[in-house]
Amino acid sequence: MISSAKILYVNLTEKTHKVETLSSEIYRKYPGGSALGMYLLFQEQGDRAGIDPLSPANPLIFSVSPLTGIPISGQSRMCVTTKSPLTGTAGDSQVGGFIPAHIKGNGYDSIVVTGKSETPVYLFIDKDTVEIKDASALWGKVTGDAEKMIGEDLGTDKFEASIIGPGGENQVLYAAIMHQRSRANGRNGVGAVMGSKNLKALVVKKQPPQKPFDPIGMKTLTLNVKERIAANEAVVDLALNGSAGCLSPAAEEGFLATNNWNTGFFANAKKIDGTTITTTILKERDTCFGCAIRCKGVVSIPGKADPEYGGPEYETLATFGSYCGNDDLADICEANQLCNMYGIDTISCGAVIAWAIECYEKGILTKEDTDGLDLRFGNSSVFAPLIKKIAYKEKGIGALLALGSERAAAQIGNGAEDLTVTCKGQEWPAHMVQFKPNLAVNYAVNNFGADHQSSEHDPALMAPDDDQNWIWPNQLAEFKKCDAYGILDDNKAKFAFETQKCYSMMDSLCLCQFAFGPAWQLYGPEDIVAFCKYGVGWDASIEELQEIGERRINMMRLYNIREGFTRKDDKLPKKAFIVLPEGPNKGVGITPAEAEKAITTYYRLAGWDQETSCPNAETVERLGLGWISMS
Amino acid sequence: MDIHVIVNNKNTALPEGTLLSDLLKKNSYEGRVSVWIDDVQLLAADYPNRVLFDGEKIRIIRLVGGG
Repeated sequence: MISSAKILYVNLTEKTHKVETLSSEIYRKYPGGSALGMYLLFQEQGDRAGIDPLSPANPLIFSVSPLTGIPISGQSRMCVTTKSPLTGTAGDSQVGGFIPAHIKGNGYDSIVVTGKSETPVYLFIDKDTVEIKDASALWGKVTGDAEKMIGEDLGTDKFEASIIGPGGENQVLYAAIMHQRSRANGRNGVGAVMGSKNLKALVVKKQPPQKPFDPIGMKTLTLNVKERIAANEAVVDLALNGSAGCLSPAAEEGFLATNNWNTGFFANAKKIDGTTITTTILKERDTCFGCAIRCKGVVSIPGKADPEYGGPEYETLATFGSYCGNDDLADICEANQLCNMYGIDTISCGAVIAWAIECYEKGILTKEDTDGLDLRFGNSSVFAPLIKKIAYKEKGIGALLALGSERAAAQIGNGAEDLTVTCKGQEWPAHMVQFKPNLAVNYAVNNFGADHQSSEHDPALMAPDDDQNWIWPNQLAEFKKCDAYGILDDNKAKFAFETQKCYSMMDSLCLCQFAFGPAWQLYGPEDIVAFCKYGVGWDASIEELQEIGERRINMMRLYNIREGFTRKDDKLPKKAFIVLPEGPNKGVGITPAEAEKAITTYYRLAGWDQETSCPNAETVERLGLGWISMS
Repeated sequence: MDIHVIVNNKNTALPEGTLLSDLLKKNSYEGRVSVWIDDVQLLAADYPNRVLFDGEKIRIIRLVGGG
């Protein structure tokens, strides 16, 4: 069974902390990560809607799960929950690495940070010892330097840290929280919230791993991991080429977002693909706590990319690559490093720059606006100066782009709004909705803006009957086969909803979606049930787990409704409806009418009001969310 | 003697006795794909042994994920 949860509350204004226990009955309904974070966000905020995300009133919540730290691939993830300054919605961002396992090792399921320190501080935790330490000397430092200085301050390297850089300190609206300099709570601007609290870092002492409830049972999942990996082509590619292994195949099909989403055809994709990285600049493959996949690429380019800052993932290669019409791999790696040093989300940053380039090429921005930078597709020499200007919100183009593309477009007008590729203010990740139309529904309805890791992708519905990609999703619900690109229908809406529940559950149990998932991953839905049983003695079922995911989605939706969001905010940008103009799949696209119909179907399946998008009374009661004050 | 098939809307000549797996390899379909022959989807287990016949319409879709 799930034990009770131990919650650490830290008030930075008062410089105090306390520990409280959440009962096992409640924890089972909100079992960690994003679900627990949302539960605690509501508890902290009470019925106060409309708080400024960058004010002391906004809590910053770090959560792991009952499964975190039990040695198996893909369990070391941590969710940050807060009100997002980028989207204005419930904010949510996930990270992997080692700090999740060690937060759990220190005995905590969640750390709730409230208030604001008068001066820069960092939080140090060694089990029951909780210290708010002076970080004045760390303020202004890039993430790698700050991490070294923390080690010197503590006199040990036996710690893990999540740190903000200048981007967070300066409250760039898409600032990240960085862990080990290369792993990011990247999305939703959670780093800006941390900066607004004058909190430079969360630091935990390393602790021994968690022991599973049933070690013999756990071995049925872990002992054969090498064979599992070898039998799974997608995971083999992940281990060999990282997340970027699929970049070239997407481009070859004409589905790699290019030139700010004006096309999906990027002729030189091979130059920036994961396989190219593997054979040229890869120094080593890194991993997260207990994970056998080792997908994390570490690159080295003297003078451009220091291995200390990892290497670019698929999303970064696309946003600073094809989005910007750029095939210079070294400049992408440098941009990745700068974002990691300054603590900025690489997806939003690359996408914002791509948007600015199109504005410049269309004459909406001029050289006067860009501080003399020649923003053109393919001119990657602008990345380094531009990223620095953004991180420090330098007057002019830096401060403008630090707002994110949606706010920046609203500020400059003149047609710039039509060039944004955002939902709820958050820039789109690099998966085209023409290729994966279920993501059109997901991008639109997802409560914290467009996210590629909030539902399974469409190719699973095309897989053969004897392929796990088809078998596993159908363990969640019954789907119809799809046999062509560009299909957006009720089946896709159902796929979006049912797999979103699964991903939502995984974001709550803090499971990596490259290791666990409902389609191509290493472990499937029944394996998650087994992990719950062997890991902590929790006799769960796929149905209970799906309901946990649905409950978390509805909590977020209720939060957003309270903040004034309605169906009109579940909308797609104009670029979603571009019919692919070139490439092998020229002519593929989706229409606004198809998207609207699919969103209507999603609402019906979710039990939401078609006009307001609010969960109806029956949905709220079924999920046990009547305690949430909507006044 | 060659057979003539249609692969993703393109007329293609292949040696008689060509296996589907040979066609996939020849066209560089590495990794996961779905295949329909005359609008019937094949099992993945059938790819290595399925012989292609003259006049068949073959549709191949690459299953590209992403992360």
